[in-house]
Amino acid sequence: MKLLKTGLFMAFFLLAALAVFAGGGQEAKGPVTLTFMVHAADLPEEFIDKWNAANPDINLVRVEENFEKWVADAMVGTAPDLRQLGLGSDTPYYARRGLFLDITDYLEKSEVIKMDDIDPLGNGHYRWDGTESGKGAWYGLTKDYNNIGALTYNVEMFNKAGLAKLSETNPITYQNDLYELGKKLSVKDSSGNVVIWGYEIGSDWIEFLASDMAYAEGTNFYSDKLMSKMNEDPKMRDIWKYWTRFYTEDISSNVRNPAAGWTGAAFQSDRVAICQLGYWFGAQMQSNPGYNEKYAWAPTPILRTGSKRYTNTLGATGTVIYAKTKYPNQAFKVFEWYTAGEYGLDRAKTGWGIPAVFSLRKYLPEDNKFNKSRKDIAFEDAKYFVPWMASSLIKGQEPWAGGWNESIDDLVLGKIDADTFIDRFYAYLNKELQAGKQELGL
Amino acid sequence: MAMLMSRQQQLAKIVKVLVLLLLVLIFFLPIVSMFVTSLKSRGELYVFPPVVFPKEPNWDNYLTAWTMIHYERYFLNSVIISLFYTVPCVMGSCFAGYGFSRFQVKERKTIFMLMLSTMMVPYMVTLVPLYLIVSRIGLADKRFFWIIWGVQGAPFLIFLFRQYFSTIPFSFEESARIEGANRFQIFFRIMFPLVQTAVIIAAIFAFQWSWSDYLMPVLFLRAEKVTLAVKLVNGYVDMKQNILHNIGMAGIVYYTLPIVIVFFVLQKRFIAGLLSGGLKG
Amino acid sequence: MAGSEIKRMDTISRQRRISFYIFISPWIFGFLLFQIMPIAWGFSISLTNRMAFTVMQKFIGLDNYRNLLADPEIRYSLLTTFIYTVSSTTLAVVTGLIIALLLEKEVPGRGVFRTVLYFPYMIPLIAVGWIFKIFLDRDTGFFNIFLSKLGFISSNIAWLSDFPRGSVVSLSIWMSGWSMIIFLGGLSTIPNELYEVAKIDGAGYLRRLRAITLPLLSPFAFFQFVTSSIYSMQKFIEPYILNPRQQRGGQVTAMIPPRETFFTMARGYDIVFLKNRFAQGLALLWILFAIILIITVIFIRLGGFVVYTEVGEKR
Repeated sequence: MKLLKTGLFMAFFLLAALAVFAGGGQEAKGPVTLTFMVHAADLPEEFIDKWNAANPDINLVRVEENFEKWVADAMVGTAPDLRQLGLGSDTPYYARRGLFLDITDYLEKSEVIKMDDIDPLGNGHYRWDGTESGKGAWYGLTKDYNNIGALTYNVEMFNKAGLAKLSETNPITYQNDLYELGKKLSVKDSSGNVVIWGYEIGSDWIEFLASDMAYAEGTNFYSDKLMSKMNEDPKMRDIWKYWTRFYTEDISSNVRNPAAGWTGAAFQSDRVAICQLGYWFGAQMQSNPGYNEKYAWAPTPILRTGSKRYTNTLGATGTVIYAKTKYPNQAFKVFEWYTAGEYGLDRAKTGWGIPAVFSLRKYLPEDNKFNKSRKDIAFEDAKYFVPWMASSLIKGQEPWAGGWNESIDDLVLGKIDADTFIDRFYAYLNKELQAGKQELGL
Repeated sequence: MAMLMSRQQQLAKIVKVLVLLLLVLIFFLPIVSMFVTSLKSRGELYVFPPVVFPKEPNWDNYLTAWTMIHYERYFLNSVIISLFYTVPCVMGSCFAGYGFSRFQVKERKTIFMLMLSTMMVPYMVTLVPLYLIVSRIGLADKRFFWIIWGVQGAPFLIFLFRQYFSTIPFSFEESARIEGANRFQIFFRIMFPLVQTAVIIAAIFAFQWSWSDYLMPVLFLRAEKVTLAVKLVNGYVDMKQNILHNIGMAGIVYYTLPIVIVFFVLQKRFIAGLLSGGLKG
Repeated sequence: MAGSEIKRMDTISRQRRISFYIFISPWIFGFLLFQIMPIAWGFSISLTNRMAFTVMQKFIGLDNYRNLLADPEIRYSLLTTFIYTVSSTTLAVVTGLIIALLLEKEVPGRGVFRTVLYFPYMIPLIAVGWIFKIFLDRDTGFFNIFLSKLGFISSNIAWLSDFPRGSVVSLSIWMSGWSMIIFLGGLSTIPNELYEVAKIDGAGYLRRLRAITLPLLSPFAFFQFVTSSIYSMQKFIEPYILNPRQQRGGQVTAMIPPRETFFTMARGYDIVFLKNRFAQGLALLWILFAIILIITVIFIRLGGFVVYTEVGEKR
């Protein structure tokens, strides 16, 4: 046993030494190899093989999606050529720091994707002109997008609480309706533990919904043009305060009543009455028996009666190309194929999101009441998309979620009041914004 | 030695077994939870009142757990990487542990502290620069990198070997030296066999660390060469990247099975060490 | 001393030195290539204001360190990490010792017991986190079901919300199989003869334990305390998985854990990867290193008094 071990060790050591000095493995000259960092589910092997068979000069390799790996690669300059970006709302942050390739020219000359076929509102987050999202240069396109403000609700729970179904064409209001509904639908047991959450906040997407409300109210997240300071305007503060009520009054899950699993899982297990997740959630729901009758949809709420409609895509998951890629032309070819080519078509049929291009919309499923209504609501909501109020000084979601979560437990447990909470939330974000400001030398 | 056990000894033995059974029961609870969860369907995971035991056990979760991540392929990757790492690591650590234990050199204590202190440096400090170095020398995405990585040993194991060697009296080597053997002969013929127990323990740890290492494979390897540990974390998700806990639990069973077997086989070998009661003979 | 004797002593100590370096050469190789360079680079970066992506960089000396140590959240994080380390290390090592003592002698089914008790350590850390997250959940977790069926509690307890650090400690205790193995190995180095002699002298079990077993196991206990403390101070992933907050998506590290379990390593990760303040994050990790170093040095100083080693030779 030990002799074998020693022998093995010597052999491996020699082998390794030899291999290192023999010039550790370059890629064979010839076809160009492109790396695409994406989840396995979003780029199945059959499609990679199909691409490689049809394009012998471009060898497409998938890299496991891993956030730390991407950051490490970006820091040393070897990031994958293409990446699936989880949140389009991060685009200003990265574009400003020179990590994403400007693909406007490529798009204009593309044969596969026609400029007028691209849905400008749905893909809005992937455009940035140096100051605002939604205009200017293109940095990517969505894989598909969704109206994340749309409401999915449990009809049986509504019936039990004596509430009428919601209209599928007229949106309800945040101020008057959503909060009241949430309260009425919450159910607690004898020891005060929540059994059913009336309205479950979708995992810290508050800042996106708050953005819609801010547009309607005519106020802004930031108090300066540079977008480097949080806005002390009382109207803005009230918008943030609105959302805290769901936590403090146990309408959503909080530290006192933790939910097992995420919002969607809790909803599918019939522990949540209303959730706001978006069109794609309908595809997830297909696994619940009887979903067609039991659940229904309503459009994204408006701020109050008479407010204008504003809706949001959360940025949407999409594809971007690394600015320092060695093969931008080839990378763009893969990009086209992924977004609108055969794979894009296949995806549209599954109903997991609204395609980035108009021409693929007709493939979305509408086989039953549930699917048809969510599709119609989505198309209608899509007319009112606005880009989220991103500041390119900080990232899309993480600082907001971090700031919120840092103090929300104290608020729920009654250790601080709502104003102090907003102060702390602002302080956290201001710190991040200042750091971003220094970083960019502004 | 073959005395009849007195009543007292028998009683002590029974008490011991009972305590062990109790411990095992408590330790086993989370494992029971794991098995039960692996048999639930997705809908049964989060309902309230909770499903204690699924109405119909979903044995096909186990099939899904295998096929969903192409278990065979990544199993092979894991075996390769673990072997590449374990063998050099155990040998390298044993060498170094012996060195630190036996040779009275002035700077020994300082170097030992230096070695220990590398364990204390949070790995994230070295992660990015290490990645840079490794990809510059062209070793990224190469499985045999783990051989090179293993050769240096691991501070934990070096320390362990040193402690083991320190329990062996100097007299063993002295007598061999007097008979004219050189250092290496002493090491391989006498010292190494004496620490078989430590070698087995080190092998168990090294194998296990490389088997369950997530960060290094995911950073250094591309998708196909990655290990089971990575697939376990990333693979059992639905379309929107939410974790499928039920299939994931089945996946854990598959994942730990090889290590359980390795451990069970190896631990029998150091029963021999325990029975003989030490170094004599 | 005669001249030739002095020469002989020199040769011996030179030979000794050569042999020493030969034996630790594999380690030196790895140390130079994989440790020294990254560490030096990492330290120099921590003295600048470098962010992850922007190229602008300027030397700011110890500012990062000063800012971090002035932040009460960071100081609390260091404290709570330390408390976690002390409790989990002590409990894990004691548990390992007790189990090892129980499993040392002939007990029916010993191999099975050992495997079951070691099994938790074989599961990758992240998976252990999932298991415990499901196990300790308030409404659907097995632990609450078990406790309420046996009548120990009347209403479900939210373990992860009310006892965040305790949950992480319980995870460490569950995984104390590693300690059991090391102690089992250590027990194997104790010659049976010592026990025989003691029994003949009339020593009872406890006396034998105190006089023979514990002293001879002390190098192994010492080893475990030192290494476990070093690792525990760097604990990172479990608090994220045991986070009672709602999690969505594959990236566990996107949601910050509750304050009590937001350990320093996690804060460092957060600063480097999520806030992209590379230099500041590295500085925090260096502060962590300094604290670990201090703890270890204290241990080693104390260890010199407590640990029993082979008679005569200075180790």
